[in-house]
Amino acid sequence: MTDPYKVLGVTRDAKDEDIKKAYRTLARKYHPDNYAGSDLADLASEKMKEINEAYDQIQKERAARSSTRGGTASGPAGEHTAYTTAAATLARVRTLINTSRFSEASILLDSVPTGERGAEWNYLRGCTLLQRGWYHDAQKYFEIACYMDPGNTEYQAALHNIRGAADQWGKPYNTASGCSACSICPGLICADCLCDCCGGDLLRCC
Amino acid sequence: MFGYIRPYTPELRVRDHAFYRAAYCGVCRQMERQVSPLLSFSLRYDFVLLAAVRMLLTGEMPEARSCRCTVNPLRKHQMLGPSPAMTDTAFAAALLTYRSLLDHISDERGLRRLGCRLLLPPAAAMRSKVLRRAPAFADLDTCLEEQLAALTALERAGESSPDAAAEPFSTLLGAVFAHGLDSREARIARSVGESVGRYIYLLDAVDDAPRDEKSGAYNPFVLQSREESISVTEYLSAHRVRIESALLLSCRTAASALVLADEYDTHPTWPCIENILTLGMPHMASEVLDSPGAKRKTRGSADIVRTGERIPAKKNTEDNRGSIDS
Repeated sequence: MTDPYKVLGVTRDAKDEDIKKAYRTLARKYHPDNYAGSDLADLASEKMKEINEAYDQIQKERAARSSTRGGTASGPAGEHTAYTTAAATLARVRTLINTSRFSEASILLDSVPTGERGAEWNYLRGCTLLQRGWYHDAQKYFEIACYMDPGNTEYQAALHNIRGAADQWGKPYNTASGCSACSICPGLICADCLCDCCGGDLLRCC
Repeated sequence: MFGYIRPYTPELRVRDHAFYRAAYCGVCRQMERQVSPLLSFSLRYDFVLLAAVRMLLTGEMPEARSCRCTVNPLRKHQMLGPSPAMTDTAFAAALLTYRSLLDHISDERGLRRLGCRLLLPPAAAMRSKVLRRAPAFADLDTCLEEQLAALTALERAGESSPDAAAEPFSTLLGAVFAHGLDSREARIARSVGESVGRYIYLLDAVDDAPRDEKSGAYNPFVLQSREESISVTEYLSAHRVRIESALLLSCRTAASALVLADEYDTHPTWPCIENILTLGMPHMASEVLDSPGAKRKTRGSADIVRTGERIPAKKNTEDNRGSIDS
């Protein structure tokens, strides 16, 4: 088996927090949600499995070695909630979508007459398009679903998710704000005030 | 291809930028050597991504050499040496150039059409040379022909869904990226190619929308705007979020496919590819959506990298930064 430390990209003497951090970063990268619109989902889940196993193994090794409590890890799994609706066809479409049978779901959706295409139909059509990577049309159908049924949180969440994912893309790498020269002084003064309150003194001058 | 795929240079490390330029010059050299010096005029930034992705997936890494270039022989340039990825890119470029000329001849009118007609015989000669030298490319050539025929059929039928219209080009580019690779790598490459193809098609449609509205040429966004009885410029600004999200998600899908490749992050092409997918392409998308149809100085001119980077002008850079940071 491959070295679990290598899989997570950490050294053998890395701290537990670093390992957890590396695991989280990788898990976020290969999360099944990122591959919802892709036929590479199986490759991603292989990778995810590899990462989960590596993390589990490191945890086990470390727990055995130090005999302190070791964290148990479980990989984030995509949850699919099944809904039951009055319209039997749409319920069937949902089942098909939940079991990744998108082309059958599409055909079934096409069979619904134009007059009977309500908010849910538009939402489900959006879901099938999303899987194909047709992001423009998927958003259009989600928008229509939200417009037809403004109070529905499921439709809003679908639109929100797709926009949110797009929003996170296209940002420069170094967006994290670290400790700068300007933030050190207020930080120290604040720490000094806290120490003063407890009877100590951090900065002699104030 | 169209020149919509470029790195965002302000965020590119100096050595990665140098590498990118060397790859660009390397592809150009392979086009000259393997096919024809004329082909290098069709070189666009997009082909560098193709070469880089294929290098990443095959794990090959040609060495950079210092060579003189036919366009600017006075100065020596760093360029990546010949490699299968570079040669394949040159071959694919020849086939694409020929097919896109055929496409232009049927779409364009007047002087542009005449120009394309004049360029067709040399392009046809390049295509037959490629098929003679690399018979394996015959499959790809047939695939290009089929997909472009499918595209023409969709255009004739007046397909109003931008995603449906983008499908043939997306499949086409998927085939170009995946051609000749092994199963796992081919799947990853196909997925990258399909996403990039979708991005290129949609962005090109946005960019051409004002022109197509005037001329009456086919454009899915013009048809969409007609459904809502507004002008295409109004349509593009009203639905900007939707279009931009679709473009960005295509970039994201391409990147999430590439991270499945073995040891992708240790390969020297990765910083450039990452920059292109996470910053360059989103940046270009917002630039095109800001002013569809505007002339972009840097768009697709083959001599930019050879004669030194001229992108973007000072004022422009500040604007660009503002839009990325905000």
